[in-house]
Amino acid sequence: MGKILCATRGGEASYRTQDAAIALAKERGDTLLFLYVVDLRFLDKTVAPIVVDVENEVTKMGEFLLLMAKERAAEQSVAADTICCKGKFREELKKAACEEGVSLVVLGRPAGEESVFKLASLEAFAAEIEAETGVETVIV
Amino acid sequence: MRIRNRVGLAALVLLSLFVLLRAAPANSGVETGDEVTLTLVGRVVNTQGTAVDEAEVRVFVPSASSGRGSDEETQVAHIGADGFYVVELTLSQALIEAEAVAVEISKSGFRTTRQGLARQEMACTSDRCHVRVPDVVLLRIFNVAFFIATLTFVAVFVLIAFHVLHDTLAAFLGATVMLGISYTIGTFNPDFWILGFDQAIEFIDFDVIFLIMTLMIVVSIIGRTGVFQWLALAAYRAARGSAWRLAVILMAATAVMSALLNNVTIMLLMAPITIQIALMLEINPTALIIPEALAAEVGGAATLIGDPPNTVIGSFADLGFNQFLMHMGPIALISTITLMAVIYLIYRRDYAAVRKVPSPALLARLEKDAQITDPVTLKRGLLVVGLMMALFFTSELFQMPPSVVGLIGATILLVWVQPNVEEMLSEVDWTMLVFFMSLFIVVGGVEEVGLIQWIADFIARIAGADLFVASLSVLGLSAVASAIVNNIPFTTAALPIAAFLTRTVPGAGNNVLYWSLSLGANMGGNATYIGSAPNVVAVGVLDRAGYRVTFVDWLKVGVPVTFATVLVPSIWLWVRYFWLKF
Repeated sequence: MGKILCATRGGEASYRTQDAAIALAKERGDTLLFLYVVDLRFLDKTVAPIVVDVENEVTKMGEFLLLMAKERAAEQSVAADTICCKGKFREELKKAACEEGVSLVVLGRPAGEESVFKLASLEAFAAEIEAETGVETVIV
Repeated sequence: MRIRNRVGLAALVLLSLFVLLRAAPANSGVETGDEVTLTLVGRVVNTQGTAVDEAEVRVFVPSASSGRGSDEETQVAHIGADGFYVVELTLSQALIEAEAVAVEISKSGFRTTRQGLARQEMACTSDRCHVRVPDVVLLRIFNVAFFIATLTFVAVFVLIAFHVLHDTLAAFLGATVMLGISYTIGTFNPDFWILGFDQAIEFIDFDVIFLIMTLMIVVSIIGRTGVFQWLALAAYRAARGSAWRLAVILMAATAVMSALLNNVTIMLLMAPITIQIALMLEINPTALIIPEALAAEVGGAATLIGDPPNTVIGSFADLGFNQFLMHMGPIALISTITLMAVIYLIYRRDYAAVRKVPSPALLARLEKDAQITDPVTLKRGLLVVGLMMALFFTSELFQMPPSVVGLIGATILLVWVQPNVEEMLSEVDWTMLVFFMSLFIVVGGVEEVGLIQWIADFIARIAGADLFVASLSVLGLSAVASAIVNNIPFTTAALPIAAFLTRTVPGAGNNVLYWSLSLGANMGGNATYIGSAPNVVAVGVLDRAGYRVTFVDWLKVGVPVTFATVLVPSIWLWVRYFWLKF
């Protein structure tokens, strides 16, 4: 029984990716591992008094989003674990793929013009993950 | 500046008394042939009537070896910060009688002005003459320094508006360019001189810096107690399943809290938990977060401490906490109600799609995340905030600057709670304080070279003597500009213009132009997400939750909200300051 790593951010586009990962896990009999990366670079865009532990608050939100994903998997009778970590998305995803011993990484296809990734760069990123970690990566 | 003027006037009066006492017994004429001591006192102003400092005063008398037309420089004096100068020289009575003495005022960036002294303007005794030289109005010339400072100023705003550089770095760069050019090329060629270091330091408003710094400390300590997250959950419970009611409670709570505490911190703490509530209720989080951010900006307009633009305006124009509350409080209230109405029209379908029974697991998680973690510190923090409010309300009685109130509150809280001071001070956002200091210098630079004066003259020409037109001009300009650039730099740059118009437009003594500026800067910042810091935070946190809000997405909500929240309070402005005049 393998482990599927699915990076998630929450939101409508992520639900589709989560559902695809859940379906894959069910089909293969694998467990699921949802990943959320806390990235606070948006705070660099403005000058504002950042005097509170924003990281902690966004981490709590990330854990909440992961709990939602976990509930979604449970509804399909798929067991899922979660990881919430801090840093840059690309590095943290590759790190989790290595450290957690996953057999498959699932990435969500760009939902439209507003997506963070364009399809070409996402395909390049998938190839990069496979090259650096040796873990099969699919775009769903 | 007013104090300096008073000191200058006092010095002038004392000097006059001294001269008159020395003059006894009084003599109506001057004995020809003797030497007399001539004391000249005068003031130099610009076209706006503001003192021109650091100009040079030269007194010329005809050369002994030649006739009129070949003058000899006898005395040089420097003008103080209040624009006054005093020159004393000894010369023959014949020169005075011949009205041969002339005063020349010069300063880089201004046209050199020469003025002859008429005999009848002098009060003379046997050995002394005293003259109060009429105010000299120096006219601007657009020299190289003007264009360099203007380009630097525009470049800083462009860098900030398009996020080419971090706001602080952009302002820091601007200040460095202005000072660097002054102390390199400007040392050899006065046409390149923008401003000196001492002047730059004088432009920094330390009342603003200290107030913002101390409020950061207070909010930081209270923010750690979990109270804002608890409030968000309390709002969810009070809404009893109605998403529209929840949005109204959240907007009202955010507006009130933003009036008393820093609105960015409130957004940073409220936004993640609000998103969780929205997800649990299965409604689009943007329908709660965007209204919350807009309310943070609108509510912050109510008080001197609610939003940095207000803090800057209050300190510059010497407007106290109570004045702000009395004048901006009703405006903020009207704007908040208007905001709620517009939000309902925009998001009513989202609110209707609410899930009535949330998942128990998610609710349990939410309750875990929204607990008050340190009730003792919270009680102390609230008591200190209460004390600070009492001090703010009474500060005008004691002539206490707002920064001192902040200092008292922060110190009491630090001593009482005794957090790790190093950790606490390291959490003060020095980046923002450096931003403010650099920005004050950049704006000071363009003020020194005359750009602000030129813009103010331009607006004054448009407005003429019509206060209503001036008010609308300030309001409209500040609303549009704040939508494009962060409202803090815009307000800092626009303040000298509002101050000039307040001095020159008849009837503007009721400070309506400052309230127009505050209204425009605060509400205008809501049109785009780059216009104000709470909006940037809202978009950033939404993005972290997988809800990307584009520039255009925000405009669809921000523009109608801004239009309504500027238009409706404008009617109030007209009723209060132009029609009923109360």
